[in-house]
Amino acid sequence: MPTVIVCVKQSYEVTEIKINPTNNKPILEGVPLVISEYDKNAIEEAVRIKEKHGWNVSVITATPFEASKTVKEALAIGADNAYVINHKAFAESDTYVMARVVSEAIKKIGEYSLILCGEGSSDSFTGRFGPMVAQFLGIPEVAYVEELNIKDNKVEVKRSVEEGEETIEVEMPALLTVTSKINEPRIPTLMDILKGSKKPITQWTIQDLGLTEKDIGKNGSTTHNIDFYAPPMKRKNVIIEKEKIEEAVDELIRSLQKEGVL
Amino acid sequence: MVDFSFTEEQELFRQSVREWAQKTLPPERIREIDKGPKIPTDIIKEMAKMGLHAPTIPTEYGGMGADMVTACIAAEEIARQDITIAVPVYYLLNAGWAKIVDLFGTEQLKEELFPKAVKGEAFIGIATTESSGGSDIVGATRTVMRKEGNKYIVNGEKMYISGVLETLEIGGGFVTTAYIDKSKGRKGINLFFCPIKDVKGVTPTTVEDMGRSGLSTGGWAMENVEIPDYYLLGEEYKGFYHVMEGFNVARTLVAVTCIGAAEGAIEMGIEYAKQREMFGGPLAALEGFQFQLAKEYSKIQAAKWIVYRAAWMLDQHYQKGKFTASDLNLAVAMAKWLAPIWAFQAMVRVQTWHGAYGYTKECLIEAGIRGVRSYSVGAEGAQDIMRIIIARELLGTEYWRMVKKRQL
Repeated sequence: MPTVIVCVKQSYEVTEIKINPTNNKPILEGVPLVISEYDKNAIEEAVRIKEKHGWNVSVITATPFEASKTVKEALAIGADNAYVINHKAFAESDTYVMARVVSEAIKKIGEYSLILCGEGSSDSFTGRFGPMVAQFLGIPEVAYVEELNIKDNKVEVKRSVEEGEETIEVEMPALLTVTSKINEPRIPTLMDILKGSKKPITQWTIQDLGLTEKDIGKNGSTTHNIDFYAPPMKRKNVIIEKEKIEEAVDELIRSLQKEGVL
Repeated sequence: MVDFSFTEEQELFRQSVREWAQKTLPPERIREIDKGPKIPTDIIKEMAKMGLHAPTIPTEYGGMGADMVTACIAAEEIARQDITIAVPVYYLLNAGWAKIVDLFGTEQLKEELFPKAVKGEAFIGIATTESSGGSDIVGATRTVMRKEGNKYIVNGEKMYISGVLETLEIGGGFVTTAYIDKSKGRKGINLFFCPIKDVKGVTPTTVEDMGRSGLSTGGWAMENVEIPDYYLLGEEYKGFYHVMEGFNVARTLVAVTCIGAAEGAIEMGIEYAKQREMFGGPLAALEGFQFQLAKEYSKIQAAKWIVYRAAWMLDQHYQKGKFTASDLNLAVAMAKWLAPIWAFQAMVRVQTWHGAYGYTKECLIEAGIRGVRSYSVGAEGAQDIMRIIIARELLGTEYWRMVKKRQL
């Protein structure tokens, strides 16, 4: 049975992140961890492939945090099994390290036809993870996919480009990153959740993947995050004063068009 | 040690129901539902897709086999979104009374009813109240039934019952009481399942409630209504005791619904107070507001954990045989007494924070106050009845009976 692997990131619930007004840094303490928004689209799409073509769906996550609830959610949506790689040093690892860890795990899984990732993560949104995994595995990759159709050993995908729509045919195995346009993720029912909690979860260490402490964390990273803060917000406070309301509205629209808002 | 945590599965279920409720019941839809007269069909269908019709029904009948704590989580989350509590009450009646049908119903009734109920094609409500009263079931029940062959013939009337129009539309029925032998008092009551849609001899009526107007309220007269004998719930003559057991389940769900609505209202209040500018700063910066917020939130949290303790005790009772009926009565009565009162008080306080806007129909708070008020008035057991139960269990049932006899 062909397998579709979904790479899932545990990300901070961005709507819950508050900014410290004194230093503009995000306050991450106590912020819940959830499945990264677009990864949910990837899981949903994989489950739709399963429902249509009878494929097996595996999810894989590498995280510095406890991942049980996240993985169970993916299994509740409809994945068949999950692989979890935990290590504290992942908190200090860049996208290169995380892509390498996950690609080693995928090699260990072995047979697969398709890998799906979100177009980016809802917290850091570098958009580099999927393409890097494809590079490590030496397979073709298409990003920002909005529609996909499995056709024998190929997958036909559609995506928006600046001036139109592109249709690409890719030979499998391949990696695709998906946007939120591809589907609307289902909300798992209690029955889905209870069934999901009985599905197998495999835990791997980095040593199981043939990696060492030197390969991860700051040691293994090729980029280093020096600082992270919210840009200060400056309001323009433009006041439009006209005798007639219609004139004021016209002026407001012109201003917004000038700013590129409309 | 005491562990107050929910399981990961319950946390995920809470997340799912919250997401579903936010998507399906935005404020403008809730306002529309509040115009009544009944829960819209599309909402009933959406609930079916999410498995929110009587999740307490066992899996062999297509249900979720949810325990009480899990069932309470859904009630809390639906009410957090629909603070008018019309949709949550529709949910909780199904969830609570289906459990009683499961405990006491015949296999034939369950096979007939449950697969439809989980699809939203049958409602399961409660109908003990009559025009003559509700809390005093023994004294107020006028409805009578007699056995004739393999059926019962029922005559009487039920009143102030939730879900009448919905049941007339989709089917289902009500867990209902009637005297089989009036001379025996509480030991002469039967509990049975009473359908009302397309039933000969049933004449329905509706009343307009002050609140939770999205869910219909009404009653029906019964004139020689034929009920198949397999619709009897539990043992003959023991209906009073069976329905009281049912009230422990339903009251817990009612209490958690009030908590959910109060939590939703307090969240609205916090958001409003942060934005509302007055005297040169936000309302939320005023200590007067902060003290009120702290008080209302703390009371709701206190009541919430009393409610979940009651739900947990019911689960322990049904799953492991732990706790006596007396233990359960006490725990549930405290939950049902405190939660609606404190929820109502919290919502009135939140309305005050909103000022004139809170008094308008543009703000959902007024509909929430009208809704929660139904349970501080006394639906599913009057508040003073809860206090009588608490006192009775504390004094000891035997002592209480003795004192009562002496007074009489």
